[in-house]
Amino acid sequence: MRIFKTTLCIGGISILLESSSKDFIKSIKSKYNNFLSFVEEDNYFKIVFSQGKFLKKDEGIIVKRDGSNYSIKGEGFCGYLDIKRKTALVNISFKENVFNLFLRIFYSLILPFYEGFLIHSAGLKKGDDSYILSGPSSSGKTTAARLADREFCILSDELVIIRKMWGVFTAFATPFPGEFTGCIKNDKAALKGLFFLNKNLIVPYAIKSRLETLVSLLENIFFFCPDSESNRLIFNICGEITNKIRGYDINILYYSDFGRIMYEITEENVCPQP
Amino acid sequence: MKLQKKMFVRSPDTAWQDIEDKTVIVTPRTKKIHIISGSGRSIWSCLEKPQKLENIVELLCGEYEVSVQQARDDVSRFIQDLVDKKIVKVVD
Repeated sequence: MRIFKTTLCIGGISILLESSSKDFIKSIKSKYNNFLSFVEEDNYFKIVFSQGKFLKKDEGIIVKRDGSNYSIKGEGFCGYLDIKRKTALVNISFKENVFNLFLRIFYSLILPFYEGFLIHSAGLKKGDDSYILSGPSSSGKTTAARLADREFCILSDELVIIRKMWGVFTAFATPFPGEFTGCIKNDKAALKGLFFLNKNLIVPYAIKSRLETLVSLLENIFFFCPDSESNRLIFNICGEITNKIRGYDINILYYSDFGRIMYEITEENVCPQP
Repeated sequence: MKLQKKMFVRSPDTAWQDIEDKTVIVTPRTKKIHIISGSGRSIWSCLEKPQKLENIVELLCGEYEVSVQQARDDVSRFIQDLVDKKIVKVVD
């Protein structure tokens, strides 16, 4: 049987995707064009897909862990992921939205082992710096991305990857969009400010304490695993971030150019409180 | 549950950090964030190893100006709350 392949790189982590379906791989190449990786690597995750039929609607997403193995089940897919061996076998319905949901869950599970996580937020990049505007559904992530589109490179309007790379917390673009219709390129930049969208804020912005920042970060992380090791890893990374990067509540409705304000307030408040 | 005869210890599933003057605890299964402060932190600190309720009461009475009965009532309530939230587990 002929096997078709392609490689994606998301959040600096490469995945080799294999399937016997030429159309499936072709559609991935087309829809994830900006995230294709052409670098020969031997350190990637290998995911083998086979086509499955899912007649029943599943009851949400179920993730279980046994040692380094995860079993993952969602609407339209089920499979196994071995973190140590960097392999996954997935039975999936070959639909783009199902594949995208699988990828989101896959990355949410592996990122803690790469000092990272996925967070519900819009990500904006300007020069060598990036900012995240985090919040739940309807908090204004897509609005922020649209308003900032001219001035900033948009990393996402829905889910951003944050990873510690060579000692620097870095925000990565993802192919996990919300409603943003603009182009998202595979980009990254050092994280400079953590902003939490708050429509009820009666002032334009407010500096958060380290504790408040940690709690807000944890509340907005996209994560499905119930095991204590992964949670501890995420918790420790978040604690470290709050030591280095200050958090703010922000009401973007106050500003016509909130991007400039974000830049200015992060310049003014470089060092967080211990 | 009669707390007096039991021993209690931090649940191994929890992750926690001291931040500012509080302790932030995350329970993976419920994905809830719990924040404790003041005497609660003293209790959390001593629960690193299995403890009987009376040991914790003794510790609190040494640290705070509180009667033994008041400390016993407060510790019982607090420990029961931590057990209910699966932050602390009962050891036989």
